[in-house]
Amino acid sequence: MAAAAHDSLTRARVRTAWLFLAPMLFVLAIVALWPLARTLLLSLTDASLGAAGTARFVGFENYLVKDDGAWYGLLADPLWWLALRNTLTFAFVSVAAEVVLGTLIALILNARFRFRGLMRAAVLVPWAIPTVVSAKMWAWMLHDQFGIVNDLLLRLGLIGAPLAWLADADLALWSVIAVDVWKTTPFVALLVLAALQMLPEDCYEAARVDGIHPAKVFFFVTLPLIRPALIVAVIFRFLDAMRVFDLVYVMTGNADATLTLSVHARQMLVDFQDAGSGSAASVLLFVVIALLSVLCLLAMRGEVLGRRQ
Amino acid sequence: MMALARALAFRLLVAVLLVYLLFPFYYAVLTSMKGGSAIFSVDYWPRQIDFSNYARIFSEQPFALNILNSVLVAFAVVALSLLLGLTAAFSLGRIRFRGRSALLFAVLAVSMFPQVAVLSGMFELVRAFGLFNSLLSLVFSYMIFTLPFTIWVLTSFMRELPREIEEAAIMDGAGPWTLIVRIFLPLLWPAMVTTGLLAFIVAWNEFLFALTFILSNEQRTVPVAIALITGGSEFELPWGGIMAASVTVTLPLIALVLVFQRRLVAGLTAGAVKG
Amino acid sequence: MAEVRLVGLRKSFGRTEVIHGIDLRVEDGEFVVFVGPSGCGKSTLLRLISGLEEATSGEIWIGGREVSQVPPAKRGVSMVFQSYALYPHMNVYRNIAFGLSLAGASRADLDARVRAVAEKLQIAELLERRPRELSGGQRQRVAIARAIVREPQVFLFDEPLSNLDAGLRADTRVEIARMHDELRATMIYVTHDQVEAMTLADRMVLLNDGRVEQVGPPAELYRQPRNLFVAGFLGSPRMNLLEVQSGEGGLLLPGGGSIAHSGELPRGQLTLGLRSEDLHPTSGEGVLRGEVTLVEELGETRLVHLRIGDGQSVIFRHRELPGPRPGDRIALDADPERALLFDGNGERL
Ligand SMILES: Nc1ncnc2c1ncn2[C@@H]1O[C@H](COP(=O)(O)OP(=O)(O)O)[C@@H](O)[C@H]1O
Ligand SMILES: [Mg+2]
Repeated sequence: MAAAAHDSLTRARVRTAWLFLAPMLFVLAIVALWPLARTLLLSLTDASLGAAGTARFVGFENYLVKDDGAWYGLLADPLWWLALRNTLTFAFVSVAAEVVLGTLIALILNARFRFRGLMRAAVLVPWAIPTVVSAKMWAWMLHDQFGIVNDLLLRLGLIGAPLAWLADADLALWSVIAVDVWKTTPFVALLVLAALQMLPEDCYEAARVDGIHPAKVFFFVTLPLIRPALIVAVIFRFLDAMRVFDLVYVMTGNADATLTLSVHARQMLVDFQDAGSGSAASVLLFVVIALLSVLCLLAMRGEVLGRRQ
Repeated sequence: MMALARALAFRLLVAVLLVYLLFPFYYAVLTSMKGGSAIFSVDYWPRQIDFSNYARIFSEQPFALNILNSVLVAFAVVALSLLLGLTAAFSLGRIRFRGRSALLFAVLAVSMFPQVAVLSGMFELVRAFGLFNSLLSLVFSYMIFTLPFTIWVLTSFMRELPREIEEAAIMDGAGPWTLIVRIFLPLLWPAMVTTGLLAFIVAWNEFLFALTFILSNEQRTVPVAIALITGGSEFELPWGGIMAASVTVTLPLIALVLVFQRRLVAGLTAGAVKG
Repeated sequence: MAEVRLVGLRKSFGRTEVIHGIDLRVEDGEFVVFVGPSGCGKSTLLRLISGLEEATSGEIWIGGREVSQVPPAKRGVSMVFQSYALYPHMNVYRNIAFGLSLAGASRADLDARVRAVAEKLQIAELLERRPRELSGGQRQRVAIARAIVREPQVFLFDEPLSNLDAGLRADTRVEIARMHDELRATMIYVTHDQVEAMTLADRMVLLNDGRVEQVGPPAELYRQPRNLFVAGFLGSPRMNLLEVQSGEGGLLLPGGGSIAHSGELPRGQLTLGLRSEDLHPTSGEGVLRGEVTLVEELGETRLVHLRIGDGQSVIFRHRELPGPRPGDRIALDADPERALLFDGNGERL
C-alpha cells in the first residue's frame, strides 16, 4: 500500500502551486493572451471596430496583396515604412542619449559632494511625472509663439527667428526624442548607479595610487565592470522605446513627421475604425518587437558566454 | 589651482543638471499661476500668484471627479495585482514544479507586449463584458502592465526568505494560505510597498487604454482629462489650466516618490537587474 | 509517547539516491542521536521522519501508525532547527503560541500552556520581545519552547547547538538532557559533534553516505566499533591504526614488537586499532618503541606523538608528571583486551 502512492505529499504541494497560480494565469490569459490572439485573428479579416460580426476572412490582404499588378496592404504602404523608420530613429537615438547622459548622472551621484541628496531626489522628479504631463509641459515650453525655449534661444542669439519645434517636420521628431530623454534618463541613471555601487572599492584605490587619469580609469576599469548593467538597461529601454505612444500622441498627435508604429496602429484602429488593418499594424509591431527581443536575448547570451570564457 | 578649477567645473555641471531636471516642472508651476493675459509673456521668475487656473479646472470641468476616478482605479489595481502577485510568487518562489521557469519567462514576455497589440482584442472583451466606459475596464486591462513586474519582484524577494522559517510554520500546521498570509506577507511587507507603489504609478499614468475605453468626461482618469483640456474659445490659450491640472496631479506623486525614494529605487533595480 | 520505526527507507533527489535503505527502531522515550560526517544524510533522514521531505520508498511508523503519507503537522512530531527559524515578525509569545492557535486551542488553554512552557524554560520575562532582541541562547530556548508546547510524541533536533558558542553549547546540552529526563519523550537528535552525541545519546546511530554503519549505546560504539569507519570516526584523538602482520601465535608490530593472540586469525596483513588511552609507557621492553616527535599539553593529561618506524606513528595519552620531551625514546605497553583487529575489508574480527 505504501508503494502505491509514495509522493502524495509532494503531489499535494505541486497541486497547491497550480491552485495559487491559477488566478494570476487566468487574469493574464484574459488580458494578454486572448486579446493578442483576437488581434491576430482580426488582422486576417476586414472587420470594422464599430460593427463587429460582419467581418469577412481576407487572409493576408491587410498585410500585403497583389491586385491588378499593384501591391496593396500595410507592407506596401509608405506610411507604415515611415512609421517604422521614425520608431527606429526614436528608439536608437533616445536610448543612446539616455545611456550616455544616464551614465554621466550616475557617476555624479556616485561621487561624494554636498548636494548629493538633493541631486538624487531631483533625478527622480522627471521619472515621477506622468508621461502625459511631461508631454504637455514640454509642448508648452516648445510652443512656437509663447514658448520659453524659443525665447531663451532668441535672447542668447542662437536662433534668428522662433522655431516651430513640434510643427516643423524637420524638428518634431527630435523634439519628441529630447523630451523622452529628459523623462527617461533618470531610470537609466538609477540602474547604472546601482551597478556602480556594487563595484569593488579596491580597484579604484589601486588606480588612484598608481596615479592613473580618471578618464582612463573610467574607460578601462569602470565601464567594463558596469557593462552587464548597461546592457540590461539598454535592452530594457530599447524594447520600451519601440512601443512609444503617449508622448508622441500627446505632443504631436498623428502627424506624419513623428508617426510611430504604435501611433499608426491606433490611428487605423480607433480613428479609422479599421479593425482589420489596425490589427494587422498591431501584429506587425508585435512581430518587430518579438524579433528584436530574440535578437537582444541572443546578444545577451553571447555576452554571458563571452564573459565566462 | 587645477584642483580649484576642477571643483568649480564639477559644481557647475551639477548646477546645470539640476536646472535641466527641475526647470520644466518649475516652469509648469509658474505657468499655472499666471492669470489672464500674463500667459502671453515669457517669464523666468514668478511675477504673480494667481490661483484662478486651479479654481477653473475644478469648476468648469469634472476634474475632481477625474482625480477620484484615477485614485479608485489605482487603488483597485494595486490591491488586485498585489493579491494575485503574492499568491503567484508563493508558487513560483517556494515550490519546485515542472514548468516553473518557463512560466516565469512567459510572464516576462507579457511585459514586453506592445500595448496596441492587445488593443483591438481588449476592446472587444471590454465591450463583451459590458465594461465600455466603465472604470472596471481600466482596472482589468491594467493587469497586463502591473502583474508581470509584481510577480517578478515578489518572486525574487520570496526566494530569499529562509527555508527553515517556512518549514517551522509547516510543522506548526500552517497550510499554504496561512503561510502566505501569516508568515510571508508580514515578511514581504517592504517588497509589497515597493511593488504596490510602482503599480500605483503605472495605473495613475496610463493613457492609451484610458483614452480608448472611456468615453464620457465624468468617467475619465486624470491623464486623459489633461490631454483633452482645451481653451474655452479658439483664441484662449488653455495652457494655464493644463499646467494647473498637471501640477495638481503631479505634486502628490512627486511627494510619494521622494518619501519612498530608497524603496522605489531598490524595487526598480531589483526588477530590472534580476530580470 | 511513541516509538519510531523506519523500514527500508530510501530517498533520492532527482537521480541521486542519498538514503540507501535504512531500517531502524527508536524505542518509546529513547534519546537517539544520528551522527556522521557532513553530507552523510543525517538531516535528510530527520526531515523524512518529520515529513518535510517525502521518502522515495519505505515506511515510517510513529506510535504504531504508518505516517509516510501524513502531513508533517499531523505526525505528532516537532522539530528544532539549526537556525532556530523563529518567526521574525512575531514576539516570543506568539512564536510559541502559533502552532497551538492553528490547531484551534482555546484562548485560556493556549495562554496557560504558553506560560507554563515559558516558565519551565526561564523565558517568561521575554514573552513580549521580538526574536531579534534576543541573544542566541535565548532564541534557542524559544525554539525549544515552541517545540515542547505542542506536546509532541517525538522531538526532532537538527544540530540545534551548532550556532551557539562553546560555553553556552555545553550548558544547553545539559539542559536538553534534563528536559529529556523530565518529559520522557522520544527524541531524535542530529549532530556532527561526537561529544554531543556521546553525552546525550541512549543509543547512537552512526551514518555514512546514506547508510547505517552501526547502532548502539555510545560506549559500545566506542569500545566495539564494527568496522574501521566507526573506529576512526569516534574518539579524539583518532584511534591509532597500525599495519600489522599476523603470524604464528601473535601479531608482528612495526618496530619489531609483538602481541600474543590466542584466537584463530587469518594470515597476512591486518589493521590493529589502539586508542590513545590504552597505551602506557613502560620501563620494560614494551610492544612499541619510538622517538617522541610532539607533545600536546592538555593540562590534566598530554598527548604524545611517537614515531615508531616504518613511517608509522602513534599517539598516546600520558598522565604522570613530568611529561616526556621531543627526542626522548619511549617504550609502550598495550592493553591486549582493548586492542581491536580489522581485516582487509575494514571489518572487525
Ligand atoms: N534538496 C536537496 N536536493 C538535492 N540534494 C540534496 C538536497 N538536500 C540534501 N541533498 C544532498 O543529500 C546529501 C545529504 O544531505 P544532508 O542530509 O543535508 O546531510 P547532513 O545533514 O548529514 O550534512 C548531501 O549530499 C546533499 O547534497
Ligand atoms: Mg545537516
